[in-house]
Amino acid sequence: MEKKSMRRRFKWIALALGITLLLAICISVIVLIGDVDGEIVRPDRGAADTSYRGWITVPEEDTVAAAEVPQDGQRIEMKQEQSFAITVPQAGDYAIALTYTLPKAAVLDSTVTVTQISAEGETVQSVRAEVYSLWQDETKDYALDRYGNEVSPAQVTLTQNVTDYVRSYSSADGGPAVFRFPAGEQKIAILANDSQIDIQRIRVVKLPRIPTYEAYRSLYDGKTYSGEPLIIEGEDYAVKNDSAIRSKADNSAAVTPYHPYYKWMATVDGNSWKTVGQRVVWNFSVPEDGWYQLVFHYSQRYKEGQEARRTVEIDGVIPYDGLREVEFPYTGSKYAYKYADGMVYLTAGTHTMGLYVEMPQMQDMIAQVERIMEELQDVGLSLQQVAGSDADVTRTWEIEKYIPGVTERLTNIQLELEALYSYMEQQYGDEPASSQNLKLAADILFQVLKEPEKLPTRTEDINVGSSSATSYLAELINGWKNQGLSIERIYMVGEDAKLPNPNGNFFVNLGNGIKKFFHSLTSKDTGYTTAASGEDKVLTVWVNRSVQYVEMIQTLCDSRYAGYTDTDGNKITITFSVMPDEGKLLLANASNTGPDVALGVSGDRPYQLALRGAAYPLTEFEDFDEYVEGKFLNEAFEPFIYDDHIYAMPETQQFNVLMYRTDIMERLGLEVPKTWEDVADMMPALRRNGMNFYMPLSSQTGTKSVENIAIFFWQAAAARGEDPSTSLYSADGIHTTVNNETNIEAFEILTDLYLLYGLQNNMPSFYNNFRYGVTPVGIGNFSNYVQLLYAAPEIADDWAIAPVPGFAAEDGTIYNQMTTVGSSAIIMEDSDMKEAAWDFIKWWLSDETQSEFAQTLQSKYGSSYIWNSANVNAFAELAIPAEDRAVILEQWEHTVNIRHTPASYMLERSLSDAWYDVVNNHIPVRRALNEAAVTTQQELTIKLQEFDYVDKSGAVIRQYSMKSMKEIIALVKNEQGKGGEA
Amino acid sequence: MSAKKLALKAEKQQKRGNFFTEYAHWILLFPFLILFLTLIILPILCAIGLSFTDYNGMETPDFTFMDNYIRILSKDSVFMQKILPNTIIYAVLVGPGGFILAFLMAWLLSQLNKVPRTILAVVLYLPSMTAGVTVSTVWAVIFNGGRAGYLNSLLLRMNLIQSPITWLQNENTLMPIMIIVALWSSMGIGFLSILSGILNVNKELYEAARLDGVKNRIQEALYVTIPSIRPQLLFGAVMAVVNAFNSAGLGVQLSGSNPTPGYAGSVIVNHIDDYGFIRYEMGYAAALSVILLLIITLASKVAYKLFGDK
Repeated sequence: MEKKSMRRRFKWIALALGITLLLAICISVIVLIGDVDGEIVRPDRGAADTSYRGWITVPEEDTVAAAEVPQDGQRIEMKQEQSFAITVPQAGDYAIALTYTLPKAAVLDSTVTVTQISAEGETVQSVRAEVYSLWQDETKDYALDRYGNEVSPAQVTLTQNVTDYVRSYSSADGGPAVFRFPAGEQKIAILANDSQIDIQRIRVVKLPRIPTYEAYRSLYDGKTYSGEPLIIEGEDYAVKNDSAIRSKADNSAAVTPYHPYYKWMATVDGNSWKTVGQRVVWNFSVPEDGWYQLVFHYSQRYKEGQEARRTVEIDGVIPYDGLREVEFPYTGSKYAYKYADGMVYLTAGTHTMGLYVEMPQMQDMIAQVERIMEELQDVGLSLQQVAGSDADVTRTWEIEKYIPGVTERLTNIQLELEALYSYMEQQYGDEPASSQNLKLAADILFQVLKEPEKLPTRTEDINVGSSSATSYLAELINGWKNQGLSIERIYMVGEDAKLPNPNGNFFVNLGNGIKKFFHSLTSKDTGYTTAASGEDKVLTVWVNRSVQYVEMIQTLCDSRYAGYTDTDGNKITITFSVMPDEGKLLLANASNTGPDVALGVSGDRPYQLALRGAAYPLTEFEDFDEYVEGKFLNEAFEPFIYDDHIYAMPETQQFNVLMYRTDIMERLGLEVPKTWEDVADMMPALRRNGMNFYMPLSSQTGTKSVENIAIFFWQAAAARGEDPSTSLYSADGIHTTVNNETNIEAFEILTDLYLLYGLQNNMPSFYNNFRYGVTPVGIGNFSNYVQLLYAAPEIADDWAIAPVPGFAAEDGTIYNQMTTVGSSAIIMEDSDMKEAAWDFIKWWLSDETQSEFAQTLQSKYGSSYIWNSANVNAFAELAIPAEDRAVILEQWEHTVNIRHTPASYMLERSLSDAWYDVVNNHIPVRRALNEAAVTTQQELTIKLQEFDYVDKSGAVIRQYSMKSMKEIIALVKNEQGKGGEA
Repeated sequence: MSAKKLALKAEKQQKRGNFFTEYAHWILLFPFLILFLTLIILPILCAIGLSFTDYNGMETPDFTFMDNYIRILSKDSVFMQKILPNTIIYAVLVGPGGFILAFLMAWLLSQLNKVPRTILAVVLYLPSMTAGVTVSTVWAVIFNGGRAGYLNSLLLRMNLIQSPITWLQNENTLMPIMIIVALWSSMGIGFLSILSGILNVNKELYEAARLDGVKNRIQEALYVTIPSIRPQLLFGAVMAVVNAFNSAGLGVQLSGSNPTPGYAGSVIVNHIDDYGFIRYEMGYAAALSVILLLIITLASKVAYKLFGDK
């Protein structure tokens, strides 16, 4: 018995061993077969021809008339309009072509409004058109980061003129806009909306005629190309009209060039190339005249069940109608080939090929859905007005009495949505995934309409929030408009050319997968080990941000930072690590294992470190004042001041602006509030409709931050002509003045908003309430702004921002200062490489680095990754709408920030407690603030004693300085001036 | 001669043998002792040492002898008025309260069959495992101060209140909520040990007790169960008390900040945090933690008195 079981066990062991052996052999065989290519050599980067060879062609012979533009062009300033006389010889439908340059390269969409004005001076037609600069990669000889991956290159603008048709900006149809011109003299006016523009030429031209394939075929007589396939690499594009369009590094075997361990640039990234109007142009050449078949090696992973569209131009012209709106079906994460419908005729020599995003066929659908959304929004708002937002769910309404015709309107919308869905079904086959939301929205309305007497309680299904019909439709449109497509290669081939497997050889893939796996286990940290060895000195940077940010900073630093060499000729290398908890900074400092530089340091930590001698004063560096001038807000430094020195650089910066729902405000007949009085005045109207106003105070749980309360003190003091810098502490910094008369009155105004006017004193999510229309107006910060911009598609056109309310002075000036404290960068006192650290910080916070960081962050992780740089110049180039940017920059001009003292945490705490006391327990304002003053003063005295400013009896030993940033800069300049004289 | 040598040798050998037998337990204890000394005793000694200094975490500590303790007892009005009362109320209700609850639940569960007992035991044990996460998600949503908070919404709907109450920022409601949440998650490891203790009581004891005149389950519990599971009860009690004094996160997690508004839910551990990491007074914080250590030792002594072997 026992022997038998032993034998059986042995059998199993043998079997297991055998299988393992077999697997090992298989793996090695696969690796060997997969390795047929042997050593993979990085191709000669930068060999491709990427010079400017043309953009769009508007043929001279199409010109009907040219406007009178001065010889060396006409500059039109931002927001200015200029009209040009033109004489059109013959009436007809024409296009307008502009030749222009933008003096300041625009990173963002900028537009002009082109208006056709008749001889009598009346506006005939006006079209908003996008204008752009042309961009190129600075180099195709990509820099490598410390892991050997290629880093995407810097973007440069071309000084080249741009010639393009006037195309309607918001339209899905990317073709030229049609203008109907009568014969005779008339005018064309151009209004520069968001940036300066230099106009060189304005022409009225014939509309481009795109021949059919048969007509095109009959134009040329030639034979079909029969040689080896010709290749254009996607990443070798020459020119594009958006700096955001990037090539992307990949390491899947489907792409070329390819290496299993390193990521090399291989495709045009579909994540960055997706909106209507974006155009990329490649240069290529063909050896002989003849007909060529275009084959695109692409990946479309963004629109399941639908196509992404591109229009193809050869030498700036669409050759035939089959190349307009070429459809690229969904591929998932794989790659595929798309054969163009028909062939193109090319003469021997160099040509350009342009691909741009447009979708004229979708134009009508999008317009229709947008109209439906507007109507639903309208119905929803009238329903909200009937019931208020806290509608009793058990109540029923005779809804037709309140809003006549509402059920019929909704039924019509539902039927319309169903019709649209079945149309899409016809177009794209059964259940097109990307149009599913049409059906969902129709179903929701169907359910809602079952109980019309409950309609007012069902707004969450109609237009409010993330599961409403409007929200589904908004998502749908966003999906339709996203035309993301990655182009890896474009082939030009003969009739039946053999192309490689679009996803790479199976064995190569498998083998490389295995190699990649083992590689990932071994040598991930090569970058770090080389950095730490040898003669080089290492500058340690701790970053209080998530890994994505740190990786991005690292990549940027590897490829862009020139590096620093100290006086002994040692080259300094930089290593970054994530600092998950800022408390580490303190602990590491205690054990002398701290970094040289810390980034992303928040709140009053720089001050606290400075107070205890752990941070190094940046004002010690000679070029500090020159460096910061014009880059940062002076006020941004206030929290980092201690003892006449500045201890940190602002890195990111918060903003607070008034956000309001234009649709609701209009419906309620409310004005945008300019003062707190206005806010109080609008509260009754809001409350009647079950709505409310939001202040950042309302969402703070626990301790209310001092800034949110103190802005009332500062604003009130400024409006009364007092000095806001003594609102919290006396000028000598020894006493708190938190209970002075101005503050008591300002605090009363603040708390009255809650006590008398019914501001909701706990609102966890402004973003949600704003979307739901429950809180149609409030003071939002940067993250609210980003959320609304990118995660509230259903109200995309229904909200705006404005400067925050404030206190009005007697002469009517409004003082609406707000705080901006964000994160900061510091140098540690223990660092023995302070010069190198300063050099690194200067590089990191420079205009170029900050704007490039902001751009790459958005293009890599999506547009919601907005980097709110404290560098004002970099912020001005951020990809957010121009009007909003203007408001934010305006608000920043009214900035005030807290200046810390050793006991500032106690001021915060006691002010917060005062607020709770007044709002929750109805204690009189004066008493609450007096109590706050007492506790703050006690702690302040204790702390001043601890740091030897005051002795035990309370007598001043040395002065605590409360100098402002401006005074300190003056001081620094003065000292340097003296140094120069001596 | 040779015999003598041999005898000596034997003696030596015996001595060596004795050495090993005599000190073998130290050798076996060695790995544990190293860890115990470096990870527990040493930090405690450091903390005691620091408690006599003025240390801000960055500069060298200054020796100030008893200054910190004097300050705690004479000047720290927040400590005396809010922190200490809060800590004691919280610890007394949550420690013994949680312990009694754990015993009751364990005893009730032991009356069930295996399958429902196991299921219920898991259900009861879960909160203590997930407490950290659930506090901020589940309870913060229930007691949310807006209209959308579950409790507010319920009370509003029943017309019991006019406007929402900010439960977690209100000085009067924060502490009771903390206690409720703490009790909810108190069925921890003490509960499991009591349950296993009850299940392992010799069945014959119950039969004998019945013959001796025990009439009902309550009497069974009082005269048989509790005396037989004293070790487990001791363990449960010590765990409960130590946890009650040590659990700091609750008030801060619920209210959203340290200190909690008006110090309403701040306990001694929060106060230590406040001084150590907000005010950078490590020496003072160390003195506070020494006091906490004393309180906990005292409380465990009481538990030992009640349930320990005499």
